[in-house]
Amino acid sequence: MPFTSIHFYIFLGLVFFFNWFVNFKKASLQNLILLIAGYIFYGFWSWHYLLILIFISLFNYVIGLLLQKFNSHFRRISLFVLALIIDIGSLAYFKYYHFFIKEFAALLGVFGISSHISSLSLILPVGISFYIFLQISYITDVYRKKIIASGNLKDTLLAFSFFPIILAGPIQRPQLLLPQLKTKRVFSYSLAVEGLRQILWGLFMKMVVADNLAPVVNDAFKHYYSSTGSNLFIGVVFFAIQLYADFAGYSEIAIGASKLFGIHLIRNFSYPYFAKNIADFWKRWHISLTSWFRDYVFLPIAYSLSGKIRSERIMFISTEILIYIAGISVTWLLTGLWHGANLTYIAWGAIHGFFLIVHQIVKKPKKKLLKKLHIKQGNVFISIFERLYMFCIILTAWVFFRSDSIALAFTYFRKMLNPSLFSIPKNIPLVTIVIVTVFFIIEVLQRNKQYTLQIDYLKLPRILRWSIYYAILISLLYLGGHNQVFIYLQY
Amino acid sequence: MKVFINKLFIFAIPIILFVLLIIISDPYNYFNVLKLISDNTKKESIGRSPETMVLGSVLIKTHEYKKSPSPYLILGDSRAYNLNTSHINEISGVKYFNMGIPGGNYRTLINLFWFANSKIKLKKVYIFISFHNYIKSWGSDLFSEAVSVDKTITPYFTRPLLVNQAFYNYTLFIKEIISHKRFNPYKISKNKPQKKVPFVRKENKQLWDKRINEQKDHFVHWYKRADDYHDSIIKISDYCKKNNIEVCFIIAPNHSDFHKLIKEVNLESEMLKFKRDFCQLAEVFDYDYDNVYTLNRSLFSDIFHANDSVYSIVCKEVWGKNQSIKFAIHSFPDSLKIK
Repeated sequence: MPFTSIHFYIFLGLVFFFNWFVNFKKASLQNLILLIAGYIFYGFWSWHYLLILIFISLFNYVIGLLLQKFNSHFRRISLFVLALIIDIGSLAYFKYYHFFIKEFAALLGVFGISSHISSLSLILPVGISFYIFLQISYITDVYRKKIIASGNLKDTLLAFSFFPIILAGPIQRPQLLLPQLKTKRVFSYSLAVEGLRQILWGLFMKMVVADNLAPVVNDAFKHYYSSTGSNLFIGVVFFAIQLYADFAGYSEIAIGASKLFGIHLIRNFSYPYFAKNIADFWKRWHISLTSWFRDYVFLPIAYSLSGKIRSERIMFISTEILIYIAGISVTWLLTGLWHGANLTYIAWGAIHGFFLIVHQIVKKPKKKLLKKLHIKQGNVFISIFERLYMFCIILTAWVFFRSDSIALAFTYFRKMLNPSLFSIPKNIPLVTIVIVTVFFIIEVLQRNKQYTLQIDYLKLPRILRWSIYYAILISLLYLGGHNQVFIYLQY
Repeated sequence: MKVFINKLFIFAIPIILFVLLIIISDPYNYFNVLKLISDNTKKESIGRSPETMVLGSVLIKTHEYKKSPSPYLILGDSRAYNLNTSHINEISGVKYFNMGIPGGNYRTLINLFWFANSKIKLKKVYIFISFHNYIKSWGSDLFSEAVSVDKTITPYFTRPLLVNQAFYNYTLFIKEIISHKRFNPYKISKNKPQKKVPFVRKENKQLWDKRINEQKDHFVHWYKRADDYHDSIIKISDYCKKNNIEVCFIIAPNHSDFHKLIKEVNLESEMLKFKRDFCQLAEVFDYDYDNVYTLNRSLFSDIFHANDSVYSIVCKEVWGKNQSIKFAIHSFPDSLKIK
């Protein structure tokens, strides 16, 4: 039941009806309906993997209660470690087992040892990376005593399997989600309208923008050997837009659907390609995952190292920078691995990590230099240069992200960076260029808004507002590309 | 909440109307709620372009067959589709169901046979075959595509090709009203005899050359003996033998330029093998060789499509009672000897 299917909207309508009309008097019944809906929704993908979801959710619920109950540090840390082993272990088993076995066998091969290690070809349970991360943050926050473990089984299970976010996020924080589930939700007209607008725009992003760019991107990455440099350049630029429209579109639908039930979710994208620099980009792209890694990986590493290292400089390098390098390296290695068991993702993470470190190192000297040269911080030329520089880094990283192997990514660059880069690209459908242009203009106009279809400030008459909605609906019908699976469902 | 529901309902009115218009137009006779638009109009509408005709024909014919299955069946591609079925019924004295699909490849044809077989006990099946499609795994499965459309229903409301079809029907319907062709309730319920919409309408020099070049590329790049289809056809043939279903293959006439092309790409022996494959399975009427008709370019609209005068001879020879066979090379499986 993908978000782009009519079946999902029939399902959403039914859940909406039961949630508000049948049992709207009691919060606990609202939660029960949403919990059942979550399991039905997930069960549509695979009933077998629903059992894994239920098992892991129950396990973390119990661990949370035990962490709350015990005061002994030893017991608490033992429980916490056990929870991490089970959570990360199940994620690793399904996601990385095959990868590590393959790489281990290849490593043995380098030393001339032939191995016959059998590798299971496992099908990744959909959404496992997302719901495991949500549950790890719950357990960690209970362990750190940031939140009180929820004693209500139903609410906790719902927080772990709320259907709009179960497949591909946004990864929620229990301290934001659980309190919303505890109180009775009252229908809000404006919130529901916002939700519908976000769903509509999310569908536009996915079906019209992402799905129309997909064939051009697929063609570039499949036939890179016979394509011109300019076509390959268009291929990677379109991939950047496709991935954004695909995943941000998905997130918009998830956030919109949640609003129909009176539940606020954290924002996942904030017009990332308008970022000023690479650090700013990561405050705007996949916000829920980036902030998760910041809070649960980077900051703990940084705090722990800063507590241990007393000197201000080590080998003439500021300790602050060294700690940043250590934190960023581990964080981006894990961010790359989170996306999948492939060296290309690790390379993608390494590129981002490297340029984030560069950004951090040159930040202060750059400020000083600009001050000396009497150039203002917001200078247009500097700003354009910085944005172009950032975009080049991101495009470079996306080539690794999209390629099947590191070698293919390098071949892609070799084929792209030749004189044919300056030729006129061939076989780019006009419709895709029109779609990208329209999408870009809308994004520019709305880049400071909470969500793109936030058009209240225009004070348009209803007929005009509705005409916009109908125009989007018609575009879904007539411009909707060949239906592709949401890219982030594979992670 | 009340305001929200009311506004949502008002907003949804055009969408509901849109859905209703599609259901009423029912371009492929799937919903069968209201017979406002006649079958002839629908078929005329489907026949307006090759794109609409390919999937549209499978959809409308499978729905039609589900409603009134016939034990006498004609399967094949555009050549079978173009046959004058009422003429065949007249000369044979039996009512045939023409399941010819423009663009119908072997994969589609094989699936359609099993589909028809699942609906009724078949008695006689004529299958139009051609060498140019007899390539391993060649062609998309139009039947499965049609089945998936029917299974989910949503494509009827969301797929532009199918949606446009519904609204194009209304254009034709309004044109008919304006030209006073109809608005007669009797005519609405009773259809006129089917108006033929040929797959390729006019001879066209450009189209002719284009087809030859396309076909050349097609053979050079893709030709691989169709062992997969051969096996599937053997299964059909064995099944028919066991169940007393008569099967007859018709190798449709192609223009001699096609035969020249086969020589050029060195596939003569493969084509001969193809004919032998079928001759060993059932009765075969072979029209695809150089003869007085296939050498005459004026009788063809493109290298694959002969005109009605050629097909009326084919119909007489294949379906006519006590008709002497002059044009076809007629053979039976028990002896490959040409009659």
